[in-house]
Amino acid sequence: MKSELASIVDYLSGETGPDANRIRQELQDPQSDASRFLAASQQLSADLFGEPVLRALGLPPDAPLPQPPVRHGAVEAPSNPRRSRSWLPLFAVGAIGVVTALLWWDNRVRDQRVQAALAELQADVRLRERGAVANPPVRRQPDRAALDSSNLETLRGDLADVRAVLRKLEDRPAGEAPREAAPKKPETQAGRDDVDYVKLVEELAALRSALRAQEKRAAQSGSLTKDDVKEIVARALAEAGPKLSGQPATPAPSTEWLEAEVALLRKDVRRLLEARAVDPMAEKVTVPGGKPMPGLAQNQLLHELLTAALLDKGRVLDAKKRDHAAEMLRALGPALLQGRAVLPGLQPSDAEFVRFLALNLKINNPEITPTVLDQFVKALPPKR
Amino acid sequence: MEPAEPPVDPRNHPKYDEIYSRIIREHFPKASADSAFVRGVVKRFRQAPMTICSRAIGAWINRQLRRQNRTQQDLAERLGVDRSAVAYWIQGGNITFPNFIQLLLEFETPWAEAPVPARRELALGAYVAALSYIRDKIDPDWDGRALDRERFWSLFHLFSEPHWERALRMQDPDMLRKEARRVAEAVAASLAPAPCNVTTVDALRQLVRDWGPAWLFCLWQIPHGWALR
Repeated sequence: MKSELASIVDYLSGETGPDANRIRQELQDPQSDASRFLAASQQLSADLFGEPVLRALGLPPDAPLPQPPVRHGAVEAPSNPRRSRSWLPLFAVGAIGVVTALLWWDNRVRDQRVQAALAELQADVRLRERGAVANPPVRRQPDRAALDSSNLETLRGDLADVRAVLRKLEDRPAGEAPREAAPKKPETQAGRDDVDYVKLVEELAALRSALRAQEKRAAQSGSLTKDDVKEIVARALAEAGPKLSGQPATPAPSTEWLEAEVALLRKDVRRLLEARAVDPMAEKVTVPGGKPMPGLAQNQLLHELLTAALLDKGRVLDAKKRDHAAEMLRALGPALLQGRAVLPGLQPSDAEFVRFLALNLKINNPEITPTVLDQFVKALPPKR
Repeated sequence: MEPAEPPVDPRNHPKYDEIYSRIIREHFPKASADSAFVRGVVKRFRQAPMTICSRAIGAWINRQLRRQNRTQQDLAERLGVDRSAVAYWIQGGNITFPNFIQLLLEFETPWAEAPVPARRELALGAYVAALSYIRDKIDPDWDGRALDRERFWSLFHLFSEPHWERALRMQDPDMLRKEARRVAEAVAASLAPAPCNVTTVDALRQLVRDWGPAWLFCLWQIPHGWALR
C-alpha cells in the first residue's frame, strides 16, 4: 500500500488506481486529512512569492527606480519627442561644419598676413644690413598701406585672444572663492591649482599692460611688426619675473573643529535611527531640513561626518573624535543597510562600510589619501 | 474543495501543519528527511540568489566596459586587482563586497541602480535550486527533464489553484483541457516567451508525477527557517 503522499501525487497526476480512488473518495469530506493537506498545499504554493514569505526568506526588496531630477518651471516634453528632436543631429552637424569652415578661413587669412609681415620684416632686415656698411642705420619707412593692414590686424587678433583667455579666467565659478579668501593648501592638488591660477593671472596682467602699450605705439607709428611685439612682451615678462616667481603666502591650516556642526549631525543621526527603529524597511527617511536620505551614495550626513572625522580640520585622527565618528558609523551603517541589502547573504563589516564611505569621499577630496584611510580603518576600535 | 480552516499566515507555521507534516514524514524515510538533507536543501536555496547576482553583475561589468570603451586591463589597474579577477567576475564568478563597491564607484553608478535582479527572480532561482536538489535526493537514478522556468511556473499555477484537482475529481476531460489552457496562459504571463513544453493535459500529468513529491516536500520546508543571512 502506498503512502498518503504518494497516493495524493498519483491522484493529482490523473492516475485511476485504487490508491488514487481512495484519495478521490476521501476528498469528498472537507475535514479529511487529504482535503486539509491539499488546501494547505494550495495556500502555501500561492504564498511562495508573497511579500511576507519573501521578507521572511530574507530576499532583498527591489531597488527603487531612479527618479529623474525635477526642474521647476521646466517645459513639458512634447508629445512626440522623436519627431521634434529629429532635426537636432542635422542642425548640430551643420553648425559644426559652418564653424569649422569659418575657423579654417580665419586661420588661413591670419597666416597669410603673418607671412606677409615676416616677409616685409626680412626684407627690411636685409636692406638694413646692406646699408649698415656705407650708410648710418636709417629705419626704412614702411609702406603704411601694407603694414597697417597686416601688422595691426595680427596684433588685434592676438590681443583679442589674450582678452578672451583673461575673461575666461576671470569668470571663475561662483563656488570658487577669490584667492585672498580661499584657504591656501599648496601641498595639495587644489592648492597647487590655486597657485598656478594666481601666477597665470599676474602673468597675463603683465602681458596685457605690455600689449596695451604696444597697441598705443602701433596706432601712433604704424611701424611695428609681430617680432617687435614679441620682443617687448618678453621684456615685460622678464621685468615682472622676480615678482611672479615668489610663492604666495600660505596661511596655516585651520584647526578649528566645528563643534556646532557635529552637534547637529549627532541630532540628525539620532532622529534617523529613531525613524529606522519605527520602520526599518523605510526607503526614505526625512531628516531635519526636509532633505530625504534615499541611500548610501546620497548620504551627505555620513559624508560630512566621515570627512570631519578623517581630516579633523587639519589634525588627522584625533582619538576622541575618531571614536565618536566610528561609533556613529557603526550605529548608522547597519541601520541603513537593513532593508536595503543589495546582495543577499552579505553583511559588510564595519570596516568595509567605512571604507566604502571613505572611497566615496576620496573622489571629491584629495586630502583623504589611502594612508589616511588605512590608518582610520585600522584604528577603529573592536566591535562591541 | 474549500479549505477547512481560514487562510494561514505564512510567517508562522500553518494551522494544518500537523497534518501536512505527518503526511510528509510518513512518505519520506527518516534518513531522507534528517537534518543533513534539510541542510542541503537550505544550502542550495541560499546559494542560488548569490549565483544569479554574480551573473547579473558580470553582465553589467561587461556592458559598462563596452559602453565606456574600456578594457579589462584598464579596469583591473583602476581597482588594483589582476586582470584575471575582472575576467572571472564577467564570467559570473563571485565578487567580494568591497570590490563590488569599488565597481559602483568606478562606473559612477548610484547604490540604488546596482545591477541586482528583481526580487522575484532571486526567489525563483532559489526555489528551482532547492526543488532540483530535493528531486535528486528523492530518486538519484531519475534522469527526467530538469526543472526549468516553464516547468516551475506550470507547477506553481497548477498547485496554487484548486481547479486542476477539481477537474480530476469530476473526471471531466473538457475541464482538464480548460485547466491545461489556463495553466499555459498563466505560464505565458509569467514567462517572456510562451510555454512550449507543458501545454497539454498529459504533459501536466507527467509534470506532477515527476515533480509533485519534491514540490510538496519543499512547501513543508519553507516555513522552517530558510531565511537568507
